[in-house]
Amino acid sequence: MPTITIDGEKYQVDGDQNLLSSCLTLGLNIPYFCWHPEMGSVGACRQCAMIEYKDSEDQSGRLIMSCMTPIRDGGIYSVNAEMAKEFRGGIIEDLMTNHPHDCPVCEEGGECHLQDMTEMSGHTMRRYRGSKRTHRNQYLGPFINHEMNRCITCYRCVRFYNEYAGGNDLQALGRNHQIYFGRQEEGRLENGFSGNLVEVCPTGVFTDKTFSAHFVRKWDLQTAPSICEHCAVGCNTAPGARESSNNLDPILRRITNLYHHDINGYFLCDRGRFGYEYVNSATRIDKVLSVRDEDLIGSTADNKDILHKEINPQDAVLNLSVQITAAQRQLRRIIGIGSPRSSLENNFALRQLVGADHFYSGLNYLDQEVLQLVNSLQSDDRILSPSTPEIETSDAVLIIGEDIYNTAPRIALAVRQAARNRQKQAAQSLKIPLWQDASVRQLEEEHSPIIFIGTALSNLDDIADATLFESPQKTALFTHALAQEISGYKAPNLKMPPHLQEMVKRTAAILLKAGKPLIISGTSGKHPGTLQAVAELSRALSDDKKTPTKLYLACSEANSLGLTQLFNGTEGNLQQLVQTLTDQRSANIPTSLIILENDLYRRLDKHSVEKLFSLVDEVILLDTLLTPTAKRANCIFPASATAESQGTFVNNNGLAQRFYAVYEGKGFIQESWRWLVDAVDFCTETCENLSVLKEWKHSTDISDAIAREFRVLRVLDELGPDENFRIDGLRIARQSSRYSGRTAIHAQEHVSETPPINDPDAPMSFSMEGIHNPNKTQLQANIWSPGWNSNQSIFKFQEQVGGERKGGPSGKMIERPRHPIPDWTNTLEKSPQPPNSMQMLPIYRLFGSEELSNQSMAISELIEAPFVLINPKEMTQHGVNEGELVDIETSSGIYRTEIRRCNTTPEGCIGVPYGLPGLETLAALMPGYATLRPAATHSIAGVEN
Amino acid sequence: MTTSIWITLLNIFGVLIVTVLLAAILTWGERRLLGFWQDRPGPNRVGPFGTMQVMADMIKLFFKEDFIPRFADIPVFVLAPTVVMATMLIAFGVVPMSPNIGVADLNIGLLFVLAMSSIAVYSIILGGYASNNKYALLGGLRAAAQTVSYEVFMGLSLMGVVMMSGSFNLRDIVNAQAELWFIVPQFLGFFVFFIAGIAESRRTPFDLPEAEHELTAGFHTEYSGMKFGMFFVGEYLAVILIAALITTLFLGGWHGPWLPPIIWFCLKTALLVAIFILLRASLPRPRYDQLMKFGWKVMLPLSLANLLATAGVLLWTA
Amino acid sequence: MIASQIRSMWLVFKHLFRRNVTVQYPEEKPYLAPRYRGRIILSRDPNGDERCVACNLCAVACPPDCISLQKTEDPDGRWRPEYFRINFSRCIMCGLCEDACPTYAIQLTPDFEMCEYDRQNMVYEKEDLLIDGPGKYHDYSFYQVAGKAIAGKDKGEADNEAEPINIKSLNL
Repeated sequence: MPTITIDGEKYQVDGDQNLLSSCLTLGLNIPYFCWHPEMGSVGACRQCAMIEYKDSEDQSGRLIMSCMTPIRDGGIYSVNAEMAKEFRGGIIEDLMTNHPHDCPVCEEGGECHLQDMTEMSGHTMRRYRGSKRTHRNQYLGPFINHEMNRCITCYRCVRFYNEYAGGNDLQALGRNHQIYFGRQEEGRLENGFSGNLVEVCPTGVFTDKTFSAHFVRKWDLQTAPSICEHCAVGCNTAPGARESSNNLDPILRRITNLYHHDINGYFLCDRGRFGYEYVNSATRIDKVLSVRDEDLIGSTADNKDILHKEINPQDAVLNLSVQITAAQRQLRRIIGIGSPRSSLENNFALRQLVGADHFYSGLNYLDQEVLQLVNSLQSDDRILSPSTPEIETSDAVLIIGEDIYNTAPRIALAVRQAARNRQKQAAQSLKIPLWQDASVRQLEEEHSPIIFIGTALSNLDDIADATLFESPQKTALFTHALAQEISGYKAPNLKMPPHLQEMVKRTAAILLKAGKPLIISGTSGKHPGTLQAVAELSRALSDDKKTPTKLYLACSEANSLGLTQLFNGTEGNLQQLVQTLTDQRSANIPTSLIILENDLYRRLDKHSVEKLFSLVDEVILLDTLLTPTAKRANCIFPASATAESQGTFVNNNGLAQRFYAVYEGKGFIQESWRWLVDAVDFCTETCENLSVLKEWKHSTDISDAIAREFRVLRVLDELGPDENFRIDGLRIARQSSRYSGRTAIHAQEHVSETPPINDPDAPMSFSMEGIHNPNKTQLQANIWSPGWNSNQSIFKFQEQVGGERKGGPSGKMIERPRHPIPDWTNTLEKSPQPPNSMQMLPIYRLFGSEELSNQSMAISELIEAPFVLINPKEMTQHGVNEGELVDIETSSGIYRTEIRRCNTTPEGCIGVPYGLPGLETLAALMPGYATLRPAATHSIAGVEN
Repeated sequence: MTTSIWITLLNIFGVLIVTVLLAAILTWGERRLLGFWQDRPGPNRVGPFGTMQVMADMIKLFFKEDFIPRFADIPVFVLAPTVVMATMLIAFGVVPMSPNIGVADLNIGLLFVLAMSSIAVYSIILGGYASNNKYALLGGLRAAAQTVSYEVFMGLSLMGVVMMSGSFNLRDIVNAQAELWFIVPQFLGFFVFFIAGIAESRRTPFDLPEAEHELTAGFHTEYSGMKFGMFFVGEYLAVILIAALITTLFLGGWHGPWLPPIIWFCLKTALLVAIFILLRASLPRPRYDQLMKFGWKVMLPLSLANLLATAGVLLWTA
Repeated sequence: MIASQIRSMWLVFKHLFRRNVTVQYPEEKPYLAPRYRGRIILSRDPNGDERCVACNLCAVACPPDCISLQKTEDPDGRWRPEYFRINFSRCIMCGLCEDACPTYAIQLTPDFEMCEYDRQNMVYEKEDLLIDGPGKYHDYSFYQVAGKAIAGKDKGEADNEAEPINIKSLNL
């Protein structure tokens, strides 16, 4: 490691980094704007000036831009030399000449990189008395506010949005000192990573519009480490919450990125950043609801829907405990249905309550089968599930049947970085350091190969150099052929058109040539054959390369893979439950159904769900939102959302991560497992299984119980400290030491303050008392360091700039027993297609496919009206035109939607948006068959059944 | 004989009532004086010149909740404040106020007074201990150490007076000063006794047992209502007692021209009390170690020197 | 050492003959300077609009944390507090909120006579705090110097501001 001297001190630094990031790694404070740890240097802002001395004799030295200076072994530099300070002070003064006097009315104020740097450079008094440049703002959609006056022209926004995230609707317009960062015309920023502009912009040009609606300053937000619940990537987030004074303002105010080196790095997708508002939505349940028995004069509810009224929580819990007691005397049967969007702890508590025999996964057969496939693939030693940095360094990417931009967005961003690897290799061969961002991007190299086979591809189409849009069956077939090509086995029976055979050969050659190939697939196609073929391919590739193949498999929900661990194979799926109940109907024993945070209408076709409800006597639901299932429940308990509870999710990589409660949910909201434990506490007699529940007082008690019960999940007891952990005798503070308004915020109700709530689950306090330093513990999610109020301060808590968080990576891999993938033989069997029907292929939307985020106000603005995609050829066959309404006839009923032309939709198929509001109940049918008819009369799009 | 019983009873109750009343009035007097010395009026709202402030305070103290912390050692907690008041009042019994006022004429009156003022410290220690509170306990410990240290030379400083008068009887000591007050030959003894007296009565600058800035209220942190009131009155009684003793021992007691003896006695005592208050108004509190150092390294040698010198002179002249 | 103690006692003793510096308050009222730190008010700008822009700086500067407010935004972009509450039973009249206020909205006044029998009455809401005038600063209007456009003040119309740039022109 080279040794350099800075201001007379000798340091050992990493030679691959530039001087600026080395200095930051050493903890020195140097102001900067255009440099970003993830995006490298362009040397535009001139703010990071330092002095370099020729040798120890040199007294004056020369000014250098530290972000553009490679480390020279033995180099002598100075940060604090008078000349450097004066230069930096001059630069900031120039940058500030046009900056408006806006800080009090700017959402960035208090966590503004520009404020920090101005302060750091010592510019405290404006001398400029001339007129300031002004700009008009643009409407940029429901997520982002635009205030161009504040711009200091660092170019970070366009560098991130266009070059890093692949957007093309944000440009640097104009010239000279009138540069304008905006769109050519007003409108929504279309890229799904636009929310990162809020954090990337060093000042308040781009601010979080959803946050602004219930704005408080950063220092007034209480926070804790959390995990994004809107997909299965498992990005780390730092939700910010502040208690509401009048019960009108929401408590959860915003989501910001929480750096995790192996998952999300510095960036989040917009679904993760703006989806949080579901917690505050009108459909949120915060009371205990029960059947309303009085007759109403009139109601718009469906005749099967149950009307609810608020009841006393104690009555509801008592009612549940009566049923539990009855079940113990064999007088009643209690069935539990788990959920892939709820934590392992909640699922396990329900399993413990109803017994493993009566616990069902809440997934349909197909979903569970594909998840089990993912699980068994990842259990093979020849397959390695890559972290985000590993994805970013792959030199060839094959995506099979997964529209990752819409199902695992952060991974799509990583793939986009992987596409640059050829360019980066070229740069390295020319001895251009990789942080020289502008120079590296100058190199006119082709993209690293990115090949896509599947139904739909979004966002990455500009960098994909071969795409093949096919139905899942054909995708599987192609993958199978590819595997055989790689393993050198010429399959005689595969009949493929010559252009496909040629593509197979080319793809195989690319994968074989690549040093670090990567395959991406997932469960979104709901096609086990594809995954089996992917397994075959990965195995073949691994055998050839003698190293494990990197295979990223995307699952659908935050805890899909965690839930899978609680079941053997496809046991416990919902079809099985319906079957069992039908078979045992004659037993004549009353049955209660406890549903944990699950909307069954998204899992099973409508008729099966209705049948299920008709087979049980009482439906008890624990959930956050009033879903269609809630309308059929006899009793509803308000469950806490992710940001309100503690628990564990297992992400796509099999990484178990714990999330912590950021705040206490309002009303009667509490964790689902607490409702169950409360009910058991009311039981007068408890059998052995239930008395276990009585012992549970803390979330970590359940984590430990899971670790004891499931070998696979035994890492759960070492995931994080339990609630008794203390640092220097103190808890970790959720509120910053500047948290304001403590003695006034509730003073209108009662002038004397109430003590802070005690957290039974985590070693954290709901107050400003405790440990604030994120270097002491990763449980501190308020990324703040003196003089560094913005999120940029994360470098103070990393091993080195862009490296691991100090204290090592959080989360632990679950330890699945290693066994090789079995040989699947039935890969290519094809179910017969009913005549005149079309296969419904699920297509995904970043906004619209995920259940929870759909309830977010900002996201719901962007959700499309129900539509289906169809090939132009089929369009003429069916005699329908673009934009017309069609009726889709399925086993669940008829859905009326708009029809859209899509050249890439395979023949014989229609693309149906998965989970889109209005079409949610179709989700369970895919990839089934439907018939398509032009709508008889043009009426409002919607479901008609 | 019956008349002498009546006189004795009159004496007893007269002294008892007057001292307690004086102590009570002193609570107002001290605040008023402190006020003047701090350029403000002091309590002046209740009654003429605020004199009824005492009544107001009494009413307040009587009607306050008499709170006993549940963690306290209850019997001791209740007993402690009574000790200080009782011992101080008993000590007054031997102080001669004029040729014919004075409860008892004890031949070892001086020793009796010293003994009583020593017993008073139990009140503080027990109060501090029984409160089961760290500040109270610290206050009690300080009081114990302070009293023990200062009592040594308090006694020694008086030996000069005893030698010169040849008696422990306070009345004899006063009579021995008919020509010359002992303050003149025994100035050193007076000085040492004066300082030890302040320390004995725990007045600023020697109020470390209750040092508000460090110990909240020291030994009486947990006391409220009339129990606190007894500590409060006990302290003023101690002030008056020390002042009366100094008057008796060094300032010639009731001796003085023109005025009746009791007036002289009262005037001298009142002056000393005023000086006590002036001390409180002007001097800061020393550190605890400074207090101990001062006691053992300055005062004790001084009083020993005084003792030796007096003894030497007496032997020389004898 | 003794001399110095006696000297201080003498100095203190001499104060017996000085005039009192205190006054007999309810009968005799002392003079309070205009910048006396008493009851807090919220002022309005010269146009009569609320000056407070809900920036939260007063709340964070407040040592006993007795100020609480919530930002809300008018359709024209003007920020204002949805509610603004001061718990005067906690306030120590330190004036740091006034120091912190970038818009001169929050000001302390020479009034301290605000005792209440019920502590709950010491909680003042925005309606109780707002006065009708500009307080000590007669001409200041924050939005006139800020860059944000609001109704009645478009981009480029504030003090020392150039016309908004037409990015579709040549801009030579």
